Amino acid sequence: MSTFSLFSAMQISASGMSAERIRLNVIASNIANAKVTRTLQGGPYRRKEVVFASILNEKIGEGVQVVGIFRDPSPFKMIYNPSHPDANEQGYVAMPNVDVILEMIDMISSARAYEANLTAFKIAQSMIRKALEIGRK
Amino acid sequence: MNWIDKDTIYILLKKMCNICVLRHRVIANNIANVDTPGFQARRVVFEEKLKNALRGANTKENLQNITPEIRIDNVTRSLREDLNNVDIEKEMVRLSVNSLRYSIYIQLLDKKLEKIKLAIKGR
Repeated sequence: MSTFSLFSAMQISASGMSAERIRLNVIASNIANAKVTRTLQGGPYRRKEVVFASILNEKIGEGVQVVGIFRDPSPFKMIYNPSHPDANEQGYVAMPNVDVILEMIDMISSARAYEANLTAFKIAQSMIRKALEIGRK
Repeated sequence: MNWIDKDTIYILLKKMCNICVLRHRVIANNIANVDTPGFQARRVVFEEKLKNALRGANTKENLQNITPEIRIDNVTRSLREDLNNVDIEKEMVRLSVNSLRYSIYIQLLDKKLEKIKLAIKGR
């Protein structure tokens, strides 16, 4: 697409919104599973993280993309709770390595980034409308 | 070449509209990459070149030949751990300033064409 095209600018904003939505989905999944001790893979839930990379086309960027969703390798939190059915012999339960507070902060930052992309998209829309006004009268 | 394509003001306004669109694209890309680790913001360099072109002898030819340049901003230092130097507030301000400038150029272009129409049709 042409360098001087507002439509490609809208595509870039859309790529940003879609990447932030995926990140928001992963954060929601982390928060929902913050206390899950049994998963299909066995053991407690492992925190997931989204990795972004910019799409490069020569020197002008073409937006952002999600390269992958990776599992956080940091150790599980060991909590002493002998009455829990998943407790080990010493009475400790391995809980997911999710910090809900951190996830909430990530969620806010992601939602704000989404809004910023949406604003850029709306401005592109209004610029196209303005261009259509040439020769109206 | 059309006769209107030789008009300096017309060439200039057309060029400025294109620059605004390009700049919008570059800023939208900076905003989209606000969370990309290691990303460095990009800038459109044009006004400096325009100044030099207007200063020279044959303005018309100069105007047609100048092209914008996209530079990677390595002057702004990153204050973040992931070395991303996008300042979201500044980018948003640039975005709205750019869109306002675009509407100025569009309006000027519209007036210019309106005058030509007036010359053709009369009152």
